[in-house]
Amino acid sequence: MIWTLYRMELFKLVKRLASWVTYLSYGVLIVMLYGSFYYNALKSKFAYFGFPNAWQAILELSAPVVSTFSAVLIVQAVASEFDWRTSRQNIIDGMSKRQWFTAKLLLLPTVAVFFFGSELIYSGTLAWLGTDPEIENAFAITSTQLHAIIGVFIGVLCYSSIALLVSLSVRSTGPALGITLIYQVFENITTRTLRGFDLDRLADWFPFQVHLALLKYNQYLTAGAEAKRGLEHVWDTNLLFVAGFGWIAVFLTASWLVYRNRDL
Amino acid sequence: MSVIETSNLTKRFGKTLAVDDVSLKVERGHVYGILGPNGSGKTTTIGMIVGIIRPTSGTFRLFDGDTPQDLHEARRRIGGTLEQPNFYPFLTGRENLKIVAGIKGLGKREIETALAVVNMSDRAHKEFKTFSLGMKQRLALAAAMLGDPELLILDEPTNSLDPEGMVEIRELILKLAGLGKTIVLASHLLVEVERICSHVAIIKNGRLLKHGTVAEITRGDSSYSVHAGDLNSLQTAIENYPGTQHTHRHTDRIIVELKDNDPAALNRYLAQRGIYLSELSEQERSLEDAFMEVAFTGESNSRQGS
Ligand SMILES: Nc1ncnc2c1ncn2[C@@H]1O[C@H](COP(=O)(O)OP(=O)(O)OP(=O)(O)O)[C@@H](O)[C@H]1O
Ligand SMILES: [Mg+2]
Repeated sequence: MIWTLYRMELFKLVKRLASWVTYLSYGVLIVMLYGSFYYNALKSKFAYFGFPNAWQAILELSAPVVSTFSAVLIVQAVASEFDWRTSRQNIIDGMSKRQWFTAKLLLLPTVAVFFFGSELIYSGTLAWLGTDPEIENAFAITSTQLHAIIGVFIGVLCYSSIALLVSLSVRSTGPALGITLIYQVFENITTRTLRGFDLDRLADWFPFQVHLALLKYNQYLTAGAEAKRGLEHVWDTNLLFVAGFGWIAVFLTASWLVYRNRDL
Repeated sequence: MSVIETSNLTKRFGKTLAVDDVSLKVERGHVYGILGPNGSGKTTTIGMIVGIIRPTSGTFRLFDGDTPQDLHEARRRIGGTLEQPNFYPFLTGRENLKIVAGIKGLGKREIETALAVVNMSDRAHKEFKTFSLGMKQRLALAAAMLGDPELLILDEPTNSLDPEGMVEIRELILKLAGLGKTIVLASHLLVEVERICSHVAIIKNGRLLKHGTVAEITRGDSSYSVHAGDLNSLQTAIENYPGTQHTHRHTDRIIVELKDNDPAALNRYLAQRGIYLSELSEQERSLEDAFMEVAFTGESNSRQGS
């Protein structure tokens, strides 16, 4: 049954023009971003866009774009079901609330993998083309890169789960989109105020701050490379992942409770 | 076997008491009308039965089961629409039914059958958002009928259709009723309920005012039409009769409503006064009369109550 539900979600996503508009806007940004790097490297002797240096650009520069567009797609997929009242009809047709929620839940990692994955393939291909063959072990993946990949993935899921909660609470695509996007502004104001009172360590734990920390490549540098960091606060990698998963769990649980306890 | 049985079902939205202590029973094969004016609580009642609105209090059973698992399984035997046709606008009619079929675990064949029944086979390849309202309603009916459910719950299925469309949909419902399906039909249209339903519940301000077979509700249980040679003296005598509730003079007869519903006693009384009736017959009421009467007294009752 879950497999059927999942296939139906994908079917709806693929058949919908709005999903493609979102994905294509995302694609244009990504193509321009890494295209310009590649192009500059081709033209200039001093610019280099290839492995292993390109990793930071590949994983960090586009990460906010990946997470924002994933969140937008989640809002489009979930909140619109309330606009069309198909959220009601699905249940009348015999879905349980649990099944409906599960189907939406499965969208989160799917969208994250799809968006992040297509960015990795595209920017990775360009970086591979630009890699200087003289460099030894250019393509080796270190723990920093592995952690950064995991970090971006958790970060994207974190923002998507905020998007899910907002969609299920607001139940209307336009306002849900607005709130999801503006949320970070409110949080930034709040945390900045906290930092003003020297409550930095408290501010660091706010969900969007955790999300931002997860997307920072320098967060994951190994002992020798620490000088390059330039971060206000360096998390212990494991603790950061736990914080990320913790917020995901909080948002998903809240989403389920909000969805389950309200009339459709 | 009861298909739906509610007891003291109540739903409150903040201060609004949308459904107030409704207990009703729908048995297999009934075509059950829920009749009430706008805002009376029809949709809310149905919403609770189909599982999208949580009752504030009260319970209900579907197919004699009431555990959450029973209800979930029972809902697979139900096809329903609520308020308006709810579909994905960017999918075609057929693709929308594919989604419904996926939920119900059905295949292509059932989709085509349902489309054929509502006469939509050749139009189902268009996107739902391009459908006319009539087509949308029809698709909703097709979706509800998908997989041949034992119970159909339809909320205002002819809402905002033109007269031709209304007739068509009603005929379709009658056809389904003829096949022995249990149907619950919410409507604010008296003629619709009168033409289609075997049973009716009249609901107003969330309260169930009266329920029974349409015949029971429309039968003049205390109104009689009487006629005698001298209508004037007949009227005077009837007005003086202690059992008279109300009289109404027509040109050729008098309609009398009796307190005790005992026409024989009235006849005796008149005969003792030398008035011999040339006609005494039970007054047929339309559902509209019954509805107006019940709704009016219901309203005054609730006024007294509050
Ligand atoms: N979600 C809601 N929130 C607040 N009030 C509601 C809600 N849904 C319904 N109501 C109120 O409950 C009452 C009953 O509404 P309901 O939709 O059940 O009536 P109805 O009989 O279906 O009316 P109609 O013939 O117009 O469809 C109305 O007063 C309505 O305003
Ligand atoms: Mg209604």
